[in-house]
Amino acid sequence: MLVRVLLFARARELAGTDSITLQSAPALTLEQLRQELARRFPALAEFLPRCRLAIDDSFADDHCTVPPGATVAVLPPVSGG
Amino acid sequence: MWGSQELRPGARRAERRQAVIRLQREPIDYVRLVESVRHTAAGAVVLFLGTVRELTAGRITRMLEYEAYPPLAEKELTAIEQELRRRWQLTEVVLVHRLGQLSPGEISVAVVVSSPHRQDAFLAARHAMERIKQVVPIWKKEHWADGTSEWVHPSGETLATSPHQTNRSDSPEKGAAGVTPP
Repeated sequence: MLVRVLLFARARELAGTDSITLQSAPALTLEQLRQELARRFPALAEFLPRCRLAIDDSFADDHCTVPPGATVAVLPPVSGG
Repeated sequence: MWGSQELRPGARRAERRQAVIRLQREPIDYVRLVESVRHTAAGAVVLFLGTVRELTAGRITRMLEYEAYPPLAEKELTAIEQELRRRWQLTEVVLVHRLGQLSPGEISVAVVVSSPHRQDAFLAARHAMERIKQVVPIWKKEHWADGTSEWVHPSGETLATSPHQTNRSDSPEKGAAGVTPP
């Protein structure tokens, strides 16, 4: 299945891209997705644990499974205002 | 969103309009936003503006760059608006955040609320601002005058989503101790 990943702010800059589409086996968890992102983007590995993830515009815990075709957003600690 | 029709200040009737919740790249017209919440049902209007500060810990800011994840940011802003309405009696609520590159002095965020009573307006505006800084997926990058730049990613709050972590002296149960009228 395909999973689209969006990256923001420092996560985007560390990865060097604002989005990536991953081909993955079904029943991918967010924890597994984090591992895959860290593998693909070593520069992101250290910062990634500080980021929250969202699936299709809703915050999600690491044990959540990513539905096929979903969009996952990598969200660094926020600093609006 | 408000229409373009001109309404006599304070002459609005009692129908509730949809809250103004918006991310925008254009400058924030706060005068218009303040006028948009004025209402005959409201005895109080509170405006908070966040503006770009030039000096932080002795360093000079040349520019702040704001980025957001708009679908989730708008969803979280809407959730804040709904929380405000649950906790306080409010007439109108406006939450607007600017994106893009801002120079010192420019307005990055506007919170405007109207309420029948000042206490609710003060508390709601303050709480809205705290929540915006804590949960809404918006990020700023400091561009310093010395040519360096860095994203502002506060540590220790990556999981700061539970309300008990965010309520401080602005909860109505504790009264208005943290709020000083002008």
